[in-house]
Amino acid sequence: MSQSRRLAGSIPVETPFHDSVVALFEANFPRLFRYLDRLSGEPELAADLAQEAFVKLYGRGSLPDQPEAWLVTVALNLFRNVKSTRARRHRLLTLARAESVLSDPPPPPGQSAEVKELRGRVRNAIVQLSERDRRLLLLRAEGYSYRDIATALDLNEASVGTLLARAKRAFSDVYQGESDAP
Amino acid sequence: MHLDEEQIQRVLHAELPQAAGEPVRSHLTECAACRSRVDEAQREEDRIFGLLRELDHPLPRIDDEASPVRSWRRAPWGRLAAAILVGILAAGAAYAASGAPLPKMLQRLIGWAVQAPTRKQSIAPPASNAPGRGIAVNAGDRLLIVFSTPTKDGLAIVSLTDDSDVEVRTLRGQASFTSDLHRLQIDNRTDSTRFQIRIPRGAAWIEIQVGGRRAFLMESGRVVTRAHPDPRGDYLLPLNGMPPIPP
Repeated sequence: MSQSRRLAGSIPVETPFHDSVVALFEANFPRLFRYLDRLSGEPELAADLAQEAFVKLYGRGSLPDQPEAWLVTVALNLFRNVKSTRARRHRLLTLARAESVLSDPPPPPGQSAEVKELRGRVRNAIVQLSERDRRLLLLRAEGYSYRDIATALDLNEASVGTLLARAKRAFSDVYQGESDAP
Repeated sequence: MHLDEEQIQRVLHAELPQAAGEPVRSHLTECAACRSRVDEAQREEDRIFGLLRELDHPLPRIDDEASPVRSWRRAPWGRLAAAILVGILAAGAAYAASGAPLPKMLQRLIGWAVQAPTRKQSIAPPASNAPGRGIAVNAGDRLLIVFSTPTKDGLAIVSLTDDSDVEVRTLRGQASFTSDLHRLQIDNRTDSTRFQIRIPRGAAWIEIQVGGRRAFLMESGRVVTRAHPDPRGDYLLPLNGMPPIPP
């Protein structure tokens, strides 16, 4: 049902837009969060970026042509901004000044050394991919369509499958190298 | 003629165009080699995506029952609050109108945002009397260092350095640090925590607050504080809520 409210002295609030954003949020927040989490290795940052992308979508007042791709693009731009401001990145001081601050969090109690090692190998493999391969692979892993991937990453849609196959191959090669390393 | 890599992937992901995909589908019914390649590609993808799931963390909690407006008024928000406020304003008058409900999604975001954990680094107490752990931040053009609560026997030793970063270390006791672009919050967990704060002389503007009161200000090389420097020129800043310096 199409319905709009016009409030005194205000712009109209279109209920369908609100409902659409809510539906998009329900359907896309988890996968956008997971995508950004895997990309950054920082769950709290991923949550910040994902929610900020939705807030920007709501603030836009209307849906873009490809909302899922739009959300990814906005979130990636926000992520890029975060990375650039990390010129003033905070670092923890230790006695040796060697501890990393922004790596994956420590494993929960009870998590086996094997799981920790596996996570480390996967993370290392991911970060060794080119930026395009990394983003492509992680987007597809979350089920984004070829059209949305092409839009979000500025690729030719006709070659997304080929690029994806290469990205998977690159990941497998690097991961295998990680696994074979002593 | 066998399927190329693009076609294999599109079969895998159901991304074949309706009409143009018909020859591909037809070929697959006849070609065992290509079916085998699709199966192999599927297995490989399942393996990779399974590995990627190892990286996942739990979804942030979004609480339907949150009381956003009340939380909004009292919560320190920063950038996210501004973004949400802009979103609300730009979206129109749903919030402004008396009795109009906040959109459910924003309610959730707000409810979640005020409960979400900030990036907090817990600093373990030093194992010995050696200088403890701490945090370094670039001074930037403005930095506010906040000790959230005064403590009875706490002390911060503030030194001016020629470095470019602000460094805060625990010399004794235990603290946790929460950092933002222009703010470094220090939660001292013990009454007698002692800190060493190293401030670049060249920093444009650095303020230290204790319990909400300005206790130290360095602006373009000029220091304003009630704390007295020791013979080495370090300022000994009690963290017990000393009288604030004038604004």
